[in-house]
Amino acid sequence: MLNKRDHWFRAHILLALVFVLGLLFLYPTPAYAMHIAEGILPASWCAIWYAIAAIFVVIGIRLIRRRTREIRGLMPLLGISGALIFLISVFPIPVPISGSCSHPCGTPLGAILVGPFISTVLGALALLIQALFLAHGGISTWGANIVSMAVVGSFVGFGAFILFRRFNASIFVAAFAAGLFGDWATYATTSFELASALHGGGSLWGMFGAIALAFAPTQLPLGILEGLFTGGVVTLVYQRRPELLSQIIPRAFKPVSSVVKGGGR
Amino acid sequence: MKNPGKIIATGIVVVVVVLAVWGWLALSQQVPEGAEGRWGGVDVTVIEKYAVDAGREAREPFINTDQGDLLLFVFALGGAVGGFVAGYYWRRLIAEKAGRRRAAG
Repeated sequence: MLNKRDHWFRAHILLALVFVLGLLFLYPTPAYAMHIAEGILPASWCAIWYAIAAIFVVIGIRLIRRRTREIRGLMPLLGISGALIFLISVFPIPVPISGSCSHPCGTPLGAILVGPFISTVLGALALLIQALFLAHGGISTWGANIVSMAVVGSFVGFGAFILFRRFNASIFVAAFAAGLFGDWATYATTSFELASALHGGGSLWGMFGAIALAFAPTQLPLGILEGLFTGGVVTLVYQRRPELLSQIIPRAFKPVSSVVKGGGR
Repeated sequence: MKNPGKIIATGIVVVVVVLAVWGWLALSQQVPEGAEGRWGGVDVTVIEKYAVDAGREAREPFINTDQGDLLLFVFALGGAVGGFVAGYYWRRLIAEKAGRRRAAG
């Protein structure tokens, strides 16, 4: 009896959460973001960032081809990850006290779910749709935006998750760290991309510091929010389908002695 | 001390979060205000500000949907399609399989 009531309660809480999140996602608001807009970077820098991004995207596409043949059930995971990266990276969040808006990245979460190279491809696709149809980012700056959000967000997030799991941190803490550091690293990279192209005769690191400091009041709290979201989603997936995560990233689970309640079967 | 690694990892995260909150509060007065005024996006208040200072300006996008309510439409459409895809696959992958496993167990 208690189990039945507990199940009913859980189902309705989940339904309410989906409804509230749905309303938030569907609320029509123009996005304010860190994507570098069309025309801001000189052509030579656009080419450099395109070349760097291409390496990761090509490896990611090859991995998708191979893994979809090897692992059944990867396609739905790709669908969830891609949709979440797209939604999260156009979702403007107002930051109280600072009085500004920005958005999380979603790629650290994607990297934990499907691996960093595949998450890079999903991030690149999300950025392409945003640049083409949402007046958000740009085609010439697509490479730079891929490097900052898709590549760095994925790899730093994935690296933080692996590192914290090696320290035996709980799934939530490790995923929180992934979201937090992945988000901040993305904005640090955007600062570097801007500073390297625009510093002119001035100091590269001086301009990098100034831009990073200007991002900080908005992005410090948003990093914490991204950490909480990433931690929550990864914990939920791990509790319900632990085998999904161990299939994709078995390395992270080798030294584990702590397990999330109900997930360590 | 049963699991020092776990305590250290959690401690690092707590310290970083405390420092981040302190940094947020300390730096919040320095947010540059863009042309949009309060609640402006960092793409305008930070990226475009530094770009303009360096003599570069953002161009119009190749497909400019930022006209009238068109941008609201594409954002709503994108949100609806993305939300549907995420929900559909979440149900297929997480809710249905976990429910089936519970029923079998």
